[in-house]
Amino acid sequence: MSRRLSRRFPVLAGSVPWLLFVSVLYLFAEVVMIQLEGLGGIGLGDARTRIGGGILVISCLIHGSSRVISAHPAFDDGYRGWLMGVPWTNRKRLPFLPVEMVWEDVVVVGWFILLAKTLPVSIAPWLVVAWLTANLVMLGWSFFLTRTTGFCYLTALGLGFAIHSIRQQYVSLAILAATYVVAYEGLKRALDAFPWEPRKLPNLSTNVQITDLSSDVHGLVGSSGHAGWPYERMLGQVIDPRGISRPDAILITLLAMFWLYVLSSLLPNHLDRAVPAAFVFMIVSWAAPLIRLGIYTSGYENPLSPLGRIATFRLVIPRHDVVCLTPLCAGLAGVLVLLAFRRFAPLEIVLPIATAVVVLVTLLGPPSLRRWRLTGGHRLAIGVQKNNRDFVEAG
Amino acid sequence: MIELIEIVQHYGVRPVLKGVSLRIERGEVVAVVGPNGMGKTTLLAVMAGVLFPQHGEVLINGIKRRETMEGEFEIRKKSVYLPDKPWLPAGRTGLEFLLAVGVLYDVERERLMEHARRLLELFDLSRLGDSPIRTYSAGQKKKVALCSALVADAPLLILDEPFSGGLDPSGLLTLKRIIQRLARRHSSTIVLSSPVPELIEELATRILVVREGEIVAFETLEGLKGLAGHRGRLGDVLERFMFPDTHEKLECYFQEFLP
Repeated sequence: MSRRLSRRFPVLAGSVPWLLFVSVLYLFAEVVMIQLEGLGGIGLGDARTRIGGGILVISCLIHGSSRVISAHPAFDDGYRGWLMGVPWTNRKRLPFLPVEMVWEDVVVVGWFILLAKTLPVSIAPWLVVAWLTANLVMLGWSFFLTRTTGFCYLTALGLGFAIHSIRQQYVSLAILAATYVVAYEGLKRALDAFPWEPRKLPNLSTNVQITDLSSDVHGLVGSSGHAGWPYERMLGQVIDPRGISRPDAILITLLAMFWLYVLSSLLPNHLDRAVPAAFVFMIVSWAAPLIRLGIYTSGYENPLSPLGRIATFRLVIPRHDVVCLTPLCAGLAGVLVLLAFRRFAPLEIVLPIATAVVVLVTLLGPPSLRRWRLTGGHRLAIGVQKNNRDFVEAG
Repeated sequence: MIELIEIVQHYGVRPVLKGVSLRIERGEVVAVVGPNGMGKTTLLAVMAGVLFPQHGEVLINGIKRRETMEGEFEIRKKSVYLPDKPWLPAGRTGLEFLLAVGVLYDVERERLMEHARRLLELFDLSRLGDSPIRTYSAGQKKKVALCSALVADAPLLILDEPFSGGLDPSGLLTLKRIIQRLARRHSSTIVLSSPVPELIEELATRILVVREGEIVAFETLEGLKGLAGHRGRLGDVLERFMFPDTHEKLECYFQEFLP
């Protein structure tokens, strides 16, 4: 009976333990708060709203995000591999859980809203906002993984607008609903394009993506193969350096700038709004250029020691030292933008722009990672592999 | 074809290579010999593109190293550099490692699978082919590293001390025969360093003697003997180039401490 039920209503069946757990937790918190009120005769109305409401909001966030994570094949290698082996296409429903919102989700959120009725203040819209936000964040992430990048940016933009108008609950809800419609279309397109190899984040390791293999070789090499020193450095890292494209860099920067503005605008005080933006600018203007420098120079070292430079009167080695130029310019450009525009616009706007300039110059400044690795005036070195237990020395 | 023009290489204050120029033709097996710390490994690393010399040019098949992305990538695809101490992925099996290297070099899939298995068999690693490399002995690690250089099917091999590192007699023989075959039948260009004169005598078409960052001689075996004015074994000939005062030092030592 229960098996039939879970087959018919998989989302609901999967959510029941969660619903029970949250209900017990919520009721326990409520009972404790009521007891405290009775004992002390103190008004804990606000506190009670916060604790009970907090539990429900967090529950909605968790449920909204877990719905996508548990259902989308992009998040599960095993599931994705299995799907590739069966005759599934997007014309059929996904065999286990649907990724998109279904009526059973409405039941789950409705149950939370019902529980929230015991609170002195209505938080129903907040619960829906929380569920939708978490769901959209994970859908946006799935678009990144499935290379449906345009919808990833659109979702992030919609979420930004929704957060910006968070004080007007119903406006925020309307924006989230509109964003969901866009994300739904993105989800359909992503599943239409199945099968895909999920995109990996850029990293500092010596992984090389090995694709386009016949299945027998693929089975042995795996999705990423380490070929050790010197093969990774000589070839692995220049075949697919996982660089970022120019349009992506520009869009990511604009979105980051917008989000920085959105988050700082949540603060009520006009003056306070510049504080988080200033904090982020200070961190980014140092960290972004340094991270770039780290990625470029890890395993690609100075061809001559500082002492050697002095002794040979080669204080500057242009083909090598060019690697420092973009990081320097990035930090400098951010400061210049800040100084130039602070008189014309409020800091809460100028600071995100300056931060965006730092990020943009860091991402797009020459030389490209591949050009540097192939033609830079560096010395190839073992780098992190030497102190890594994943590698052994031969010879 | 490899061409080095006026290469000067420093790491710090002391120059390791001082204006080295040479030309190696296709199909040659060149052995680089010289005393310890005199620039053999540095010379090979400059040829391989691992080092960026402070002065001079390296040309491989007429393409200048590190000049353009396309040119450098083309060179890297067609050459293998195996340092004396490569670092291998400890958790991967020998077969996985060879396949990963073959994939990097775009070796055709069917050939890659078969070639990798056959190389493991040749170097007596068949039974270990499916075990993680971390379980291999020192000699077995060296063998699998050598297999990786061969599985790439590259026409240019730059091998730093390929015969050292605990290779057993069977491994030495196998490698020697493969190098000879690659050079003679496939016109592969092979540059290697080795301190063992007997091996060099059998393998090398030309011998490059390096001392104190300069080329002392770059000749065939016969040419080298002629230059040295000595018709004996290669070991004795090399001694005259590399260690001209060794005999004198030994005599002095015997007289003072072991009369």
